[in-house]
Amino acid sequence: MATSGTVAFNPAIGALTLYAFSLCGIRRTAILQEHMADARMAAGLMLTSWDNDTPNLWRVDLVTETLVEGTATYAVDPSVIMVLDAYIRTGEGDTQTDRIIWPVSRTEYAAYPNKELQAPPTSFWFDRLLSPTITMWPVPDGQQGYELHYYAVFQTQDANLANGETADVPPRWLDAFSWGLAARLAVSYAPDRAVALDAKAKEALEIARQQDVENTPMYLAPAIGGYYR
Amino acid sequence: MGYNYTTYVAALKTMMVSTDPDTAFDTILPSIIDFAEQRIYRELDLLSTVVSDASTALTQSTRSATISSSFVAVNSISVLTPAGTTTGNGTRVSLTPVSREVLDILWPGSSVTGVPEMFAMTTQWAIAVGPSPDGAYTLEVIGTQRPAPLSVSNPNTFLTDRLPDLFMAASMIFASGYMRNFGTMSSDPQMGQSWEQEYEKLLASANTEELRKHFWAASWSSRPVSPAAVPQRG
Repeated sequence: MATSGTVAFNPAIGALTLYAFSLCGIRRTAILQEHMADARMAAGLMLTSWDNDTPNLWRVDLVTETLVEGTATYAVDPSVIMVLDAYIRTGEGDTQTDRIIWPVSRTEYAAYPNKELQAPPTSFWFDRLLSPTITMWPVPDGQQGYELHYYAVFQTQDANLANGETADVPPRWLDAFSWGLAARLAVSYAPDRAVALDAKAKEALEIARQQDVENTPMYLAPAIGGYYR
Repeated sequence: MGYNYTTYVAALKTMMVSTDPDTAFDTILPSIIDFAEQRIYRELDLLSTVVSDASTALTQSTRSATISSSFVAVNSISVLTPAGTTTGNGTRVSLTPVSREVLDILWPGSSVTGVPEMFAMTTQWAIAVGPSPDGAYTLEVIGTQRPAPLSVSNPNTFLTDRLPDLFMAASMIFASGYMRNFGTMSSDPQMGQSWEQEYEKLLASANTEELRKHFWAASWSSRPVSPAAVPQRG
């Protein structure tokens, strides 16, 4: 027997929702609007909850911002949850140079004595407002052009049930999605199964999370370079 | 030994102690046959009543379709792909039965089309599919239909051929009522009660069949409960 030769398994959110109800013991021909309304809410809240456990690597994207002389603060897309790595790019072509810059907290930023100092930026503060911003320090000077590049984790896209939309998660997370949705729905519609489904949901989510990493060696090194100048 | 129409009528007349000419018997006979057939067909869900019909095609971008009015309960529906093919050369895509509410929410309009994945029974002989079809797919509907009743022009049915004893017994239930002139509450106080009991039996089988039409029967399918399948799943 031949194998399928395809890796196209990615059912729509609607199909996953019907499956989640099936796990709760509610059959497809018995589902009413209120079931679906709760399912849409549960799916949205679950993805929001997963966003809090970020980084979800599939939602990481590289953002580029051209820095302006004398301007310290720049608007960030409101769907950005976290800034991971950031670097400053100067020059282009053969002269292009990327230099990593470091995040600082609000407290650290507040501790800088001269926030208007203009120089090549070496650090940034990501202010997690509803309309978030990123503030450079030192403030970009006019000596050369600076481009800020940062890897941002974006919010997972909305889970809409209609028209065959698929979930904004990798296929390897679909098991966690299904069990998680079933566990949430079971609280309302299958309380006798809620505990069992919750356990399965946590297990599936844990497996998915463990695999959502970059498979690279990790090095830990003390920052003692300053002692050897 | 099975019956045909002639031998069945003769046996029934013998059981009812009827002698020719008996115009009253001739008048009530179709009702006796109908009573017996309807009850047995409802209660037994005979395989012999299952019919496959591919006479209906979907219309592109239109989610609703009307199936043959001969169907009593639909067991399953498939679309034949690619569009325009028949049962002889097409590939079946079996549709999942869902509630109408599910269909309305998952496929609210016809802006998104494709090969249908699911269907809902919207009336006795109307269905809606989702997504709306992107072509004129042929529908293959499988379900139960009532066979032609036993009559002079249709002298043999599955019941007279294969279940003659059951058919005769069912006939005699109605015939017994007829022979007692269906009684009155005053002359036979038990008569009303026995008809009430009979009604309850008929109601139960009619209800089971109606649940099957909604795909709300055993395990929320369109199948009746099997006493042999214990425990019942779902």
